[in-house]
Amino acid sequence: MLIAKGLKKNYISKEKTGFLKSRLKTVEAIKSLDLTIRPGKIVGLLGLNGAGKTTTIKMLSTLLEPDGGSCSIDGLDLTRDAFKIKHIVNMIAGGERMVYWRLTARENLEYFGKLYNIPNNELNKRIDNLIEFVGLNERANEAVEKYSKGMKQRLQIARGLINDPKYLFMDEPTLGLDAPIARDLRKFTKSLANKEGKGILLTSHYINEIEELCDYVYIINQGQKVMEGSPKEIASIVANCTNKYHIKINSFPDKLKVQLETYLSAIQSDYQLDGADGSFEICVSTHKDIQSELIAMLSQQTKIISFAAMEPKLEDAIITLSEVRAYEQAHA
Amino acid sequence: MIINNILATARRNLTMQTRAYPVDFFFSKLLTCFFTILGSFFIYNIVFKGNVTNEFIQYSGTSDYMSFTILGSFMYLFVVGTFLNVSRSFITEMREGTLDSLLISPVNYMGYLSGNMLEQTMITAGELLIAILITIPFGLRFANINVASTMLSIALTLIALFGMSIILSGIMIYFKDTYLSQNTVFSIIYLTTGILFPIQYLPSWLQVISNYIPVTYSLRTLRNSVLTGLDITSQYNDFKQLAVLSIVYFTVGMLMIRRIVKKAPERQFI
Ligand SMILES: Nc1ncnc2c1ncn2[C@@H]1O[C@H](COP(=O)(O)OP(=O)(O)OP(=O)(O)O)[C@@H](O)[C@H]1O
Ligand SMILES: [Mg+2]
Repeated sequence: MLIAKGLKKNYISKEKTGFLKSRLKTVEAIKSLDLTIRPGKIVGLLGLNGAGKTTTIKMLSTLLEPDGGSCSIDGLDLTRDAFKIKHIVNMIAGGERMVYWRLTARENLEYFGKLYNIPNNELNKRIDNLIEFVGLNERANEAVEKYSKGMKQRLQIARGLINDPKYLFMDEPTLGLDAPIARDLRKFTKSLANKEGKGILLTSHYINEIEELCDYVYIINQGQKVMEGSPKEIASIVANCTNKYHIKINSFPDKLKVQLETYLSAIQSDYQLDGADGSFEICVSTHKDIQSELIAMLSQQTKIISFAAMEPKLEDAIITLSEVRAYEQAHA
Repeated sequence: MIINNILATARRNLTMQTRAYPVDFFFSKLLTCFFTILGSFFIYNIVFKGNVTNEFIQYSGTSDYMSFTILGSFMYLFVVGTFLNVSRSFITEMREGTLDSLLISPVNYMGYLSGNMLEQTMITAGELLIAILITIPFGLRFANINVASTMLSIALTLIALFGMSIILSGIMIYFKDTYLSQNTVFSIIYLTTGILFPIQYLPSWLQVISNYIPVTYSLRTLRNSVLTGLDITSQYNDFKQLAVLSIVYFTVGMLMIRRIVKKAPERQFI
């Protein structure tokens, strides 16, 4: 099990203040993060650009040393036992980097395999399997620089699996992949967790991917956890804060207007009226699920032409939560 | 295991260097040798007009300027080769985006660097072999060579160059610069260690610098062993200095490189 408590990471970066002049600036990329990854589970890490997802993944994969907090992976300490941890974790990042362009796919995997001291027989078998899995069989002996973006990305995935890691950290692994290959990768990721018991941390900008794959999700913003829970739990919380109903009605009698206003203000909600070319359209925003009540109220006094409930999305959740957080911070 | 790291890295480099343009690679190496020797030949014939002064003989212990500068050029070939390859190894990984995958793996720094060094030494040794064949007609003479002390000189030199290039590689990653640091080092070595002329011709303050650069002793022991045929005991002091400097540079290099490389991923924007 991977247990991180109060992880912290500051970056020092240089800020230009003039020609030849610059000043060092500290960026608090991760302020304090608790995170748990269980074997066999897929954990999602969500957040807007710059939230600190990549930083978290780099810390867990021993690339960056945390500036505070602690993390233990299967009883090993992330900082003290970094060398041992390297054998049981690996990271896959989206994009075309992290492999040698002037080597072939096979040579790349052989090189990394040797760095992990995998015995030759075992390594060759593993390489064959991985090349097969990522569908590079026909081009395995061609220099990587001649590959397409997606092929380079697939090789990267194979590289991330070369040491058969117990914990795998995936930073936008499907970035730039064709839909069928992305789907294969999702299926494979699922089986890595379910069948092989690997613990997986996944970041993605495709919310659907997170919803489909993850058992548990952390939402972070500006280096801090905003919310955690199963995708369902999070979606239901979001449903409460951003339900929207678009309703087209035949007429809008004053009696109904009063009734609607009273009802909505009682639950701290609001509506807007758009009435282009003689029709009436009302748009209700509310924190509660009031679909059936609305329909009942409206259909008593008028005819409903159309009724659309805007599906709450995990995506809205992240945006809303981040906005709330930013607002709170600005007014703190 | 370290040996896996060494062999895998050496093999990887060889593949990368020869893959794209194997023929170009061979001819560029051949040309390097040829121009190196041509340079010595011109200096001897045009600058020195085929004569050397008594002063030169007294300083260098030989009157064979042609062989003196050919050996100097060979040494420079090794210096440049090692520095270009070993020193730039980590920063090249950083620039090409492979440093992260390298550092995630349990790579052995010493093994990785040694692998780079091994491959580089093999390539330069090959170049040298060609260069020796070309230079024999130009007047390189091995008649007096003392094999044992020549071998010792080469062995210590390799350790020294390895140590120096590890330090330079740390400087390169820290300052994210290759051009400036590399050419500064090249110029200092070219000027102060006696590649083309005995260091006694230098102003005394420059000779102080020479004394802290192992290449100075490498050149002296190499020339004394190959041209004059001195044995190890009669060069005891030079060998001792060379050994001490090699160990110092190597130790400092290994101590600093680990820290600097480990911090590299987060110092990207400094
Ligand atoms: N090497 C670095 N030096 C200085 N600041 C950095 C460095 N890397 C990241 N940052 C800053 O740290 C914060 C977190 O960055 P990080 O890359 O972890 O975000 P992210 O959640 O992965 O974003 P994205 O969705 O865009 O990939 C950002 O403010 C970023 O500008
Ligand atoms: Mg990122």
